[in-house]
Amino acid sequence: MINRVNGIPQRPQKNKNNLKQKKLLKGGDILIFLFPLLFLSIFFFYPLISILTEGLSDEEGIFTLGHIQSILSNRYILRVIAFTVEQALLSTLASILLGLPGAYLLARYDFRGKSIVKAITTVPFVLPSIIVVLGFVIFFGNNGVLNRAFMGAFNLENPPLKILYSMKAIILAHTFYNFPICIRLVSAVWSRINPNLEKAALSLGAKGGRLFTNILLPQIMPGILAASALIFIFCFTSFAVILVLGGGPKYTTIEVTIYRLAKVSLDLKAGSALAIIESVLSILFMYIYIKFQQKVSFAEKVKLQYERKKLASILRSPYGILAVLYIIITFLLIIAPMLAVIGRSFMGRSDWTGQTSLTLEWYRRIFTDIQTGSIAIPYLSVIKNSLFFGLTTVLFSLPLGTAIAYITTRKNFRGRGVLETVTMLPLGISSIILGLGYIKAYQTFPLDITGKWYAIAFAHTIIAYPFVIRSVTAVLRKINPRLIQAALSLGATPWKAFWRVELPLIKSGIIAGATFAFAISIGEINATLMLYNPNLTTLPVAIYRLISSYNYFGACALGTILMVICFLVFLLIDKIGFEVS
Amino acid sequence: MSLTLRSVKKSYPDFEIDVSFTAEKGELLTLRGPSGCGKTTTLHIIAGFIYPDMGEIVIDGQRVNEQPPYMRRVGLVFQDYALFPNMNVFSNIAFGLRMQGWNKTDTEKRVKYLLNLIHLPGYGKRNVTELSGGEQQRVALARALAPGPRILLLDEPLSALDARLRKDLRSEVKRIQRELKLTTVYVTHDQEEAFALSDKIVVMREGHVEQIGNASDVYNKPETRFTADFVGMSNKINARLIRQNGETAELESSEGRFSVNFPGKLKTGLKVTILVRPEKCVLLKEKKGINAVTGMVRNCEYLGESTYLEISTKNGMFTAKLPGKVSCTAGETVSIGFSPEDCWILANDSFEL
Amino acid sequence: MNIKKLLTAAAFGLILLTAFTPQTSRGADLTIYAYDSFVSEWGPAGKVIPKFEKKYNVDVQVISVGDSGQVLNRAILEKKRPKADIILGIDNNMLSKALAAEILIPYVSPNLKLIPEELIFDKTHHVTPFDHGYFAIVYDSMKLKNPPKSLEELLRPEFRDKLILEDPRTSSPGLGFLLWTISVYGENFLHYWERLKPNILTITEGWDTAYGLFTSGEAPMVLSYTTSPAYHVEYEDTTRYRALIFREGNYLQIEGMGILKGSKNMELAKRFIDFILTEDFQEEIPLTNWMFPVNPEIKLPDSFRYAPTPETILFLDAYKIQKNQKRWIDEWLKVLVK
Repeated sequence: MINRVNGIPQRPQKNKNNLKQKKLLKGGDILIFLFPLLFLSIFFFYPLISILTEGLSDEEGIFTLGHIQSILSNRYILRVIAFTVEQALLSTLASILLGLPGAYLLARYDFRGKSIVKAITTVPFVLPSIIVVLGFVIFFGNNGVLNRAFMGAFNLENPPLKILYSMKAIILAHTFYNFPICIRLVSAVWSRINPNLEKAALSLGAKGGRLFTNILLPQIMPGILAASALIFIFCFTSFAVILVLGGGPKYTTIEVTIYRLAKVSLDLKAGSALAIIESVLSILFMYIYIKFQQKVSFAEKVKLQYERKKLASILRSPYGILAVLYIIITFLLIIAPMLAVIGRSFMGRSDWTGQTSLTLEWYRRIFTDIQTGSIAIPYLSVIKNSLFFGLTTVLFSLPLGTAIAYITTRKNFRGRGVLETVTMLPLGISSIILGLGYIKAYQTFPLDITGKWYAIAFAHTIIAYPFVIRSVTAVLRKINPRLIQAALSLGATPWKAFWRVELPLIKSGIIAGATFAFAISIGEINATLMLYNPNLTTLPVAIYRLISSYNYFGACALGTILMVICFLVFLLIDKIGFEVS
Repeated sequence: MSLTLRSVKKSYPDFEIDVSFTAEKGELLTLRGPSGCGKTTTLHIIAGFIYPDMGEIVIDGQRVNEQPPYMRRVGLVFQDYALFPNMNVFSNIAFGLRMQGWNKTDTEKRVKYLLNLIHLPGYGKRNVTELSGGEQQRVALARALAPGPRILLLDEPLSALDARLRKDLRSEVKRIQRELKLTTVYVTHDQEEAFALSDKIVVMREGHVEQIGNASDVYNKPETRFTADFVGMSNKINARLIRQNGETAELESSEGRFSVNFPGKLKTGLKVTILVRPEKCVLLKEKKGINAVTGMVRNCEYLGESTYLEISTKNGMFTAKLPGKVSCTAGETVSIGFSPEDCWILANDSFEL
Repeated sequence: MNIKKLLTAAAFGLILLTAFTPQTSRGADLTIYAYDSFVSEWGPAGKVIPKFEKKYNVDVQVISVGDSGQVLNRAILEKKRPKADIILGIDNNMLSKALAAEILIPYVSPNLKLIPEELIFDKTHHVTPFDHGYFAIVYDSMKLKNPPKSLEELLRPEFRDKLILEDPRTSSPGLGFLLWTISVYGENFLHYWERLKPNILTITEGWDTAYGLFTSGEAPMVLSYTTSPAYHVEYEDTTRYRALIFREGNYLQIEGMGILKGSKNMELAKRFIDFILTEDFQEEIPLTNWMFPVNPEIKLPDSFRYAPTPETILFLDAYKIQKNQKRWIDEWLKVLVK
């Protein structure tokens, strides 16, 4: 702890190093900076700009706002924009409301298997949306597990629960995806609140709801807002969920419309114009997110920690029923669709009625390449491809993200805020646009990269590296800059100081970032689908293909493998994170 | 409003609290003891954050064991101030009043009064993060005082401040406490602070009460070796009681004979420990008959006001804080003497001769 | 973990990487853009492509980039620098769009004489037909005892939320069904859709999702092909799923393929077009693409007894479609969104 000397907390001192003047970058820093800049320019900004300029120019390539104007005067498109915002707001609200109790439980209670619970809650975040959609259909569908259970129990003719193919379904699926984000971000902030604040308020007569709204809520607000902004962005650019669970053209988002305009109706101009509108909005939310994220990291300076209570203590309290209810609901929401997918993977259709029975057929296929011709999907090589892209993404995004994190946290220079927002941009730019940009920008000389493995690896890197920045930044901010000064004063060169002192200290962040990068790569589908060739089929693409040929069982088997990989990876991250703290 | 803890017990897997003490109305009681001795836990038991397994907490004759913290009307001040960062100074102080449902005019009046009391008039609109540590702590004090607590609890309130500010604020706290005649429990690490403030000091060790008494009792007449060590009575001489003559006890040890002022009755022949306060020692030209130890100088440091001397005797290390500049060199043999009223006997302290 | 371990981990990662590096694709002699189901596990590609490869001792790469609409768009997007030689899956409803985009070159295959005149739907010969079929509502006989016998009966209130359709903007059956309603109701089709709306459970992007939802039991009726039941008979030995022939008639789809302008393997591409009309290709169509072959010499498998053919065959003129499609879809969208 920075502020503790001899166990006695000192008054926080203003760190003079933070007061250094803003200046321009120089020397080695520029070098550190040049690499990410170059990479981003080639593999992010160029494709992005080449697709966006399409929306700002007419047939002759002359600048015009005509496309944007015509998009904005189209009533259907306006409706789509309004709906996109509406569903994102509702989904965010639902995710936050469902996530808060979980954040509380994780922040304030200890129980066995906590790290496993944490790992499980993180899996949905990286699951490819088609698997989620599949899980939802299998579990919540008209013929799903839930409805069949009710129909069996009450002898009903028709499914009692009409959840899918509506606004409800969209919000439910988005909540499934995103409430873990709320749990993670808010519980981190919550566990860092000075516990004395709560004690002071209690001793002053505050209790229950007033304690929460007057004292706790304002404290966790930055966490809630950061989570909300992030969740909002994700819901704002949601794709597959809307496409399959929404129930048709009535519920369409900007992202889906861009996809339709650009890929289906081939109105690249209108699609790009809409993409510009979407990107502008995303960047705005991105900026809000970064602002709140910074506030959250300020809160990290609190010295005291809550004493965590045993989970059993709340279960025995009057609120026990509520806690149990919450755990059941979240379990149902988060685990059930995943379990449904896993369960389905061990089944096959066996007789004429279409009844299902247990089988290991789909897993056997992984090891016995069924060659129905040169086109069949060899499962094993699909898994290998996914691991390959996962690893390359880690390899590329680590230096990229770390370099940017280092520059933006350690150096104070003009335009740092802009740089921060700009480098986080890929988080807000939909992968549909990115994939289109790659096709548009790189189908001709000088670089024809579509269908090459590195095109996919680079696209994944672009999508994943903001998460490396986030993880590394969080750790970098916590390091006492005096440690570096100490190393330098002991004769270490800046490079050695970084290598010997800083790197070992930020390794937890790097490992966390690597895990995220890996998980994101292994679950990515939108950009991959635009860039792959059959030899480069990844797990999600294979799943998509299997669903297309309505082999739901095989899709579930591959989905299960994907989930297992994600789960293990996140269990690992939590174990490592634990060691470090 | 008096506060009594009667055999209050709370068990933890590796620790147990078992305390009894009373703070009379208007009294300032200090909890002293090394880190981890249960001072803060005791405060939290009084405040109601921890419910004891056994015993009684009595405030003003009323048992409050079952009352939740927000019913107890106990004011709390923390070492890290714990001001609500989302509220300004006014709202912080008014918080407890709002919880009690005070109306606007009364609240404003009360906060204004408190701001004057803590010498920060006109600070109401300030953001708490803009304040200095001392100012923040004053606001925290005012916040705790606002709803008119029955008991005031202060958990090392000054230890995060620098020495100068600590002294100023210390007398301020004392003044306010006296003015309001508030029964107060005060936790501190700082000996000087404890002595300056306390009407009563409770020395705690590993969850139980070691000694209760006023400042001079605890300082001059420690009952246990632990208390003696804790208040700085560091010199110990193993001795045997020869006889007692009124309030004077005569003892014998390997260092020679000693005479100690001691009011209690002791059995002749009892093995006891003589405690000698280092700052009351004098350097002797030559060894006299009684109340003197002889040894080789190990360390001699001139500290300005005094000289710190460390000698090794047959009985172990002996330290003395001699007034002014004393010249001595390491290796030289010297004798140190002290008068009967500057030492004390630990009667219940067994040792091996 | 120290730096050494970190480095070891990195080295280990690198070794893994080299082990996993995907085989870089061999430069194929012929590249075909096809729709998803064509290359799916049970699709025709696995059967017919090796035959062609063997026959000419060449290497053919089939890339699927979505459903047929997306395939066409991909080709249009790459117009300046085509990556493929052949595009597969242009049907009678998309023909005019493909022609307007000017991405194809005409080729009159000598084998065209093998197929009936009425199936040669592109008289300009940019697109050569390879199979055909009829859209139909397929139903689950275990769930539905009294299925509708006409578009009109499909409106019955008992079918509320029981029908899965595809989006005409993104899927060819979807477009087919819209055109079907137009060919029956003319400009009154919106009124029909208005009344149909309550019975639609969901409208999916493509046929595959719709059919997947149907077979998972989400709804007892789906828009598909008359040939769909044959699949279940052939592979699952069940007649549970059946196709409905409607009184008003069923809408026709003919699928074809064409050679892309700028193809670098023109001769081989032409050989492929010739090949698709031969029995070698055509005999695989029924049991892989689940459509009727265009070559009438092919003997249909037994399971195709469960693939009914309509008495009234409906279709709209390609030119009329091209002229009105955007308006129809816009109007349709307005009704659906309401």
